[in-house]
Amino acid sequence: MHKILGYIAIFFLVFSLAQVSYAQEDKVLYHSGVNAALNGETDFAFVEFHSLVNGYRRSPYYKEALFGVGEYYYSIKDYANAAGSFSKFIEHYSEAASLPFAIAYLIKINKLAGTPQIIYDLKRKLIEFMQLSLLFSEFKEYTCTSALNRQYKARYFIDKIEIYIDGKLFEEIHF
Amino acid sequence: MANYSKKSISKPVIISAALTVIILISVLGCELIRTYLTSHKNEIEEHLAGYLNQKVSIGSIHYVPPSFIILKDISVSCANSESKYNPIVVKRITLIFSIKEIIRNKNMLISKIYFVRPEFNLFDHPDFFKENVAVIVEAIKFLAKGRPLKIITEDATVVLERNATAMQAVLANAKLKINSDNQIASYGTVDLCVLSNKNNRIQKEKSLFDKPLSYIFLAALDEGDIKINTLKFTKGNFHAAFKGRFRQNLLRLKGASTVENFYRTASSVKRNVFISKIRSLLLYQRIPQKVDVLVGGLNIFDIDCLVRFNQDKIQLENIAFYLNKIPVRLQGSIVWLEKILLDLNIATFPDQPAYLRGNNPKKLDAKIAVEASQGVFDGKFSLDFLKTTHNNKLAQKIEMIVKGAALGFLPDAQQKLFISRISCAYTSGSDFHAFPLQGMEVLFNLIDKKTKFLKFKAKIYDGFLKGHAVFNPDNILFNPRFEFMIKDVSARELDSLVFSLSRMYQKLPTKLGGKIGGKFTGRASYKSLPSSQWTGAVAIEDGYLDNVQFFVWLADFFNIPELKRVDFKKISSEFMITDTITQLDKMYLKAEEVGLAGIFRLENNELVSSKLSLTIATRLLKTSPKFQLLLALVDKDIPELTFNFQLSGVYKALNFKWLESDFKRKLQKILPGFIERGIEKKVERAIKSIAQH
Repeated sequence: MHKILGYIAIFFLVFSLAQVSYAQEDKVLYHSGVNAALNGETDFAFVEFHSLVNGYRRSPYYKEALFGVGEYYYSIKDYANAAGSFSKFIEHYSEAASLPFAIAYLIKINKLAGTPQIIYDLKRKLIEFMQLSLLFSEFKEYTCTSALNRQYKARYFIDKIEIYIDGKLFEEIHF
Repeated sequence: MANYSKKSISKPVIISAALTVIILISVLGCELIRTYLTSHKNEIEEHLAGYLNQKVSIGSIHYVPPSFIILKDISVSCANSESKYNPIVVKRITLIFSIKEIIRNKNMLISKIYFVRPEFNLFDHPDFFKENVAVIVEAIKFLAKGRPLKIITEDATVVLERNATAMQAVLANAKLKINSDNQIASYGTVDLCVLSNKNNRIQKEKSLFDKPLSYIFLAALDEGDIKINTLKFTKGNFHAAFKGRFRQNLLRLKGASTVENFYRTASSVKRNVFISKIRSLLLYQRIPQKVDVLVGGLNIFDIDCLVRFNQDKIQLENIAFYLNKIPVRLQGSIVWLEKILLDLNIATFPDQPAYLRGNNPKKLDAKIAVEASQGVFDGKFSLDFLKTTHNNKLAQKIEMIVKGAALGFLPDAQQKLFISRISCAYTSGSDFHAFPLQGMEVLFNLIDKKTKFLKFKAKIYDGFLKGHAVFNPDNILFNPRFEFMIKDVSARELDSLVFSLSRMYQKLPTKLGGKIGGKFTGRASYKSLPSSQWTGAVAIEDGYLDNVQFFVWLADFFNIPELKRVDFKKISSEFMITDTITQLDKMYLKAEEVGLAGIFRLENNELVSSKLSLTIATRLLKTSPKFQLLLALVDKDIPELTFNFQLSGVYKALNFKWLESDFKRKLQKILPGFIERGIEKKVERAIKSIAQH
């Protein structure tokens, strides 16, 4: 009986150590990627984020890494893979802070692909993201920084949304 | 020589004398026959009357050598009828008989019958025809006596409607040939037209169609059965072909039909006439050999028709076909007693298992029941279908009950349909809504130019409805356009009407629930090309808004309870509804202390674009503790304040912006930034709360 209890204890110990190791590895990968991005080494950052996305589906860093992978694909004009990453992102993280920017990327890609119906649906998702009440201001501003160290800014006006990346206007959506 | 000359003279004399005698005998014979026929006219009439069991009148009878008997102005009258028109009237009947048969077998055999302008008043004397169809068929059989017989009818008419100078009728020209080997062949044309009766002469004035319907019927009598080898119909781009058998009282037909290029685009319909004429000269005329399944056409194929004929009833046991790949079944009956009863059931996908059919968006069930008596009919029509919206399927039903409908024929070939009462009902899921129309009059003229026009008016609730519709049968799906106006209807009655429309378009407000009062006036027009579009305007005068959602929210937000009920002088708006947008333009509300103006546009993806201007009297604002302070900050003496808003975004979570105004500018000057932000947050919460309702 004692033996059995001993085996169970060892099993849980090994299992929890493995979990710690798992948590540590994805964290290491993420921070390694973020540091590489801060140093301007986006290729290395992509490798780290890509490993995280492929190996650690349940990681708390998965969301940021997935967005980073999409950003990288877009920057090298691999639009098919970028669309895949961003589509997965908006499918799983409808409340994420970077959701408007993932949608903006997809709108841009679909404009290139000439798929108006998809743009139509994405536009609606982007508008739905924030409900506005503008009494004294002209717009509401919304910012975030990505894992690839890009500064994102969304300006929600009453009848349009402006998306900026690193201070440059990336997409303007009228409705 | 003298003998010779005597002999040579006597021969011509003899021949002349013989000829004279023959002519005299012939003339005498003819005169005897004519006299006999004339003197026995009454006997012939009585004989025929006995045969038909009705009074028969013949104007005159003539014999024309060698083998023609001509009967003029024949009429068969019906003793039991109140109609001033006889059931059958024939201008002239020519009977051609075989002299050889008379000489050889002393038997008068009719080989050809020629009817000129026979007129059948079928609808004035339904019982007469019901009782005598079998007699007429037997009479034809008797005349044929197993020998070849040809029957030709010229300008036969079945009268539908008539007045003193004109009649609307089915006009037929047909030839029927019965051979001695029991082969039957018939061909001819059928048309629907207006005939004028001027100076006792019938003339064709107008035709409903460009071309009449042509038919070919080839059959064989086979041991009491009629084997239908070919039954073909052709009219312009319409072709239909059938084969089948008539055994005892059961008709079975199988076939197909098509309308070529039924789905023509509007642009393709507009042809260059000159080029078309040149093309028709250069190209050979294609003669349709068979019915084909055509892409872009309206195809009805695999027609399987089983109809049972009884004395008082035609039972449509089963009429099944595919309409452009959609299986359809038609069943029902036509009963011909004191009243004519029509009962039809039409269903698409009839053989699909119930669990599949229940979710099939192309499933339709239509029922038509009509009871007609002495030109007046009552009817009930219903249509069940599924409405698919946002992946949901909801059972829908449209019902129409018609009471006391009658069709009249006016001068200038116009027709008038009068309906004493119509009840229109719409059921969506478990919601049921209905509205009545009374004393409806529809004036139309189907036999006109290509464009058909009809006018209608009716009483609706305590107001009235008036309008007209235009459609073109030659154009793509008739290209219907119509306009109508509703006037002086109590707005509270319109809840169900607005609900019905909103269910159709899924966009209009549905929760009126008796919250609006006043007199409603509206006009609307519809056109189907280039795309479906409704436009119009509505107005309600001297009414009230009681607990309408927007004003309830305003009342709560501004803390002014009086806004929950607004008594207005006028509320109005123009509107446009298309396949992609619903738009309210020039919205206007004028009440003593509240005013509203603006536009509202809702797209198919539920995106809203709107600008509104709300004016509230200062007296009313002062009743709000929230505004007392703000008003004190700006100007106490202004009579009213105007708030301009812009709304955008998704319908259920609208974005809101307070547009520039003097009041806003004054407030901005006075209020510090943190108070502005505080107010903005409160408004945000309030906006979200209205979105949740």
